[in-house]
Amino acid sequence: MSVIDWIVLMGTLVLIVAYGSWKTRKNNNLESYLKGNNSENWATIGLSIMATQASAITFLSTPGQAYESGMGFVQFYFGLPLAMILISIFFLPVYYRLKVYTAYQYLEQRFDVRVRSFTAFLFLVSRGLAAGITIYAPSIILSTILGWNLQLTCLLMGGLVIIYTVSGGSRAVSLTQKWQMGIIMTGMFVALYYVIDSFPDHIGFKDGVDIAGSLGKMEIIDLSTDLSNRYTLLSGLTGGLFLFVSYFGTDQSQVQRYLGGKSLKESRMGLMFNGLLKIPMQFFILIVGVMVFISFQFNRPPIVFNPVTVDMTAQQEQSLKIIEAEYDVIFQEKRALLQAYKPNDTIQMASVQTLQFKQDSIRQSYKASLLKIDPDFEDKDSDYIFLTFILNFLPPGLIGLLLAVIFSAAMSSTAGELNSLSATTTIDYYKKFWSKTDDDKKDLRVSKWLTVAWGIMAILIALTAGMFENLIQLVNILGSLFYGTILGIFLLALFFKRVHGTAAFIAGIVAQITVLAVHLLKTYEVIDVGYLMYNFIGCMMVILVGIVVQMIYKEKGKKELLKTE
Amino acid sequence: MSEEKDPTNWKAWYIGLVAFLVVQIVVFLWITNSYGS
Repeated sequence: MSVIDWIVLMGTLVLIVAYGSWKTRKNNNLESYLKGNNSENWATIGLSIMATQASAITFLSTPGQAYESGMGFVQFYFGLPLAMILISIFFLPVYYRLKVYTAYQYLEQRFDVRVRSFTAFLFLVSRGLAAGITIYAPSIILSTILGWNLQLTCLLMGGLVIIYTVSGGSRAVSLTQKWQMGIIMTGMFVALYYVIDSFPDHIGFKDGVDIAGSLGKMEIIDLSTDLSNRYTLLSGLTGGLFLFVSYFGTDQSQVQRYLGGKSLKESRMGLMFNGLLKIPMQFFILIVGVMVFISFQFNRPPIVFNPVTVDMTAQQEQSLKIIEAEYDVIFQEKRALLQAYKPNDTIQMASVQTLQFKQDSIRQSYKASLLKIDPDFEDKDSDYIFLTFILNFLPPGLIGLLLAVIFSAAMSSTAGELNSLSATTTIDYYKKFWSKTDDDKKDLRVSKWLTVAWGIMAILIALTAGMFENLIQLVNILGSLFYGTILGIFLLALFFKRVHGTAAFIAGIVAQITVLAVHLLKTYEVIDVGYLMYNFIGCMMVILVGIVVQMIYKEKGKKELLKTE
Repeated sequence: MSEEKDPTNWKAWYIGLVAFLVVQIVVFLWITNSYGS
């Protein structure tokens, strides 16, 4: 990294932290700290919702996912606009009418304190773990590129977020997210420009899409009904819908974003904004990944994208060199064919397909050899693909901008998470069970300290996180383990008026145990269920068990009434 | 949170959002059929 990259990166980070802290320095009560005095307009709410969801993982893993598997991941977001409509109709008016700080307050009014505390607990577990991963993802990349100490990087990243989130609360989070989204989108457009610029002169964007299509990267819609397929039209519209209703309607990190709106109308408009722009945004990030794939058809990609630090003997090194030489030959042959690319030349493209298949197989066998030498070698390198491109093809200054994009995305998500974790702990536990007085200053102080505590917890989780299969999937799996149950409880509350607290509480516990059991069975390959289906299973279990338990209680109640008569 | 009367036609917004989703899916289907291998 050049000096100018450092100036751009550090300048952006310092400006964001300073802006967030300065603009919200007059926070002097709990309401302004947790709800920003209900001053946000629809644009700020919409951008804030998008920035909270889009973490650094989104901008690192998604292009890598498109490079490896094509555009199909966009189907995951098809349920999102529908979720925005449902939340706008059913959830928002209830939250506004009851003037709640957290979504879980509503559950006590509808059921009882046990259901509220249980649901808030599920949120704290899932979001607390996710906050750690949100810091870990960019930290490991920085440490890999710059040779920084991973622990120090996590501390720096988490520390910066803690500064403005603690000082400015919810409003600081929303205001900074607006600017962070601006930086992110500018950076991604710049990246796309340089990706296309890296193509040979006679290859344009349209040719890139044609070639990508021939190599299987443009299959966006999968109409199959196989439940074990992760991304299909069906799973996006069902599992995705459940996940997004649960995430946006009941996850405090999102609820807090739109509860800070000036009015119900502004909050609704913010949700519509998200519903309109989310799929195009994801499509855009994926197309950047596909174009990176095309760029690496003309510019030799590394055989593995993550740095190899495996100790090996001279003989092992020699055998890897042989594989790499074979990889080079195939790549050169394929590039020569593509240099002479003519649209609609099916014979030529059939040869390219065969060579691409061979190249992929050689890459896999290289990884397998590395794994044999060192079983700890991380063979999933898709998270490094986009970054490898940035470092090799972007000019000085813009590398700093793209790193600022990754930092901004990580910081915006983490800030939203810490802010909501603190709000839930303050409102649903501290003020509910421990705070005996109505001392607003003391409550504000406690809430700020809780933000610090959750920040430290997130950093500790980041420090202990290992490398997982794919970071974005890990976050989605984490969400899917708990969201189904949480959503089920909220649906019981909203639509099943005859179900009372005890039945809802039992149903919640049974559903959560069931989802964890299903996940365990899947882990040990006893059953094969796509993780998006966890949301559906958890949600349905809560509703069914809730209704059945309520009926049993009703029967019992009738019998006891008859006895007393 | 102001309680002022909201004249927005939300039904039109919801229908519009669903229509936009359908259009996107149709376009993606077209891309899949036109460019898919």
